[in-house]
Amino acid sequence: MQADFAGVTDQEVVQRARGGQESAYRELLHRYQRPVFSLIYRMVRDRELAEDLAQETFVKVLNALDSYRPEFKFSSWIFKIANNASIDHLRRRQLDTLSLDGAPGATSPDRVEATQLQLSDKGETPLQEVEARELGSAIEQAIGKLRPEYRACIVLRHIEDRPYGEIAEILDLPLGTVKTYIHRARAELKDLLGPLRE
Amino acid sequence: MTDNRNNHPLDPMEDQVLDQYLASLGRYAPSPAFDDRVMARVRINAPVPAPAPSFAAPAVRRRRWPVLAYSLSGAAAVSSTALTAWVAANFQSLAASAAAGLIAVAVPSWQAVLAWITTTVPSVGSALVTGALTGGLTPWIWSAAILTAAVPVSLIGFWLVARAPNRMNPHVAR
Repeated sequence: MQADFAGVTDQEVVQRARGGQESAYRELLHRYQRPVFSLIYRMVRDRELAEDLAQETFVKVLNALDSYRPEFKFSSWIFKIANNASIDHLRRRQLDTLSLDGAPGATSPDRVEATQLQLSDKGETPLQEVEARELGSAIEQAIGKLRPEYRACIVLRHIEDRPYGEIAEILDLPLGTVKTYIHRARAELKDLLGPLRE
Repeated sequence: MTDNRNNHPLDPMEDQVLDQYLASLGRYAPSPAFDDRVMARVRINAPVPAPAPSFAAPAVRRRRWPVLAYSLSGAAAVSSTALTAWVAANFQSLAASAAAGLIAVAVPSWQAVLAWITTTVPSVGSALVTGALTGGLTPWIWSAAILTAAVPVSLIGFWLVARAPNRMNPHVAR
């Protein structure tokens, strides 16, 4: 039986999971798998590695729900663990470029579609879609050139729409530092994207 | 004067354009079997039928044995304190009856025990006798003080255990 989690807060879902409800675990996974995977993917820029790190993040989080303190945001906790996992790997690994295509193991069109980057649907023509993909790719590559700290700030702020305070909590940085990082990252992005306009 | 380039999405000077395009970046999805791979490695808690009624229930669920140990030691300390208080309150009558009892039974018995110890293990016996004669009531006072002090110590211990741990603080999570 599938439980209905519409309108249920993360804290309540965690409570139900602690009570042994498997559907609550799946709900947490459903709510956060894309945000967490996206953050990690944009940080490490390697899909297979991102899947492994995201999997480790979820296993760690879901197996430690008993120690979760509801006065803290669940999203902060899971993003923090995801970011730490990414940073740990970045410190040891030279990175490649980011692909906008689906998972390497995606063989059928459905699977490719399910795993590829979700660009917003604006009813574009095929040519516009190609342009949008190229633009998206350019922006992704520009983000990939940022320092990891700046990249995390930009992704959390502009893609995950997290408030500055939560980003500071996730990254363990003072609020002022987060604002500075975002300001500098945006300036770098403008510089990086500027030449494409010529 | 308006520059036609102002509306170009990649104009480096346009904050709003940069915002718009950053916001348009979507989320990536992991491969379809991702959930199942994660769930295969997750330990699901045993179902809990009903919440425990007392205020300490969450703490007890999390750390059952330490809480039980502190509860028992706390209960022992409380009962010993109650006994000490009762003895102090009824000291006169207890002393009178104890004196009669001691004279009748305890003193001869204690003397017999000391005599036995003295003859059996002279060094230990003499030390005990010396201690009993010189110590007087001091050991009893110390015992009562220790038992009484056990109450706040046990309560502090119980409070520390019942208090939620800080492992979940996002600032320390990794």
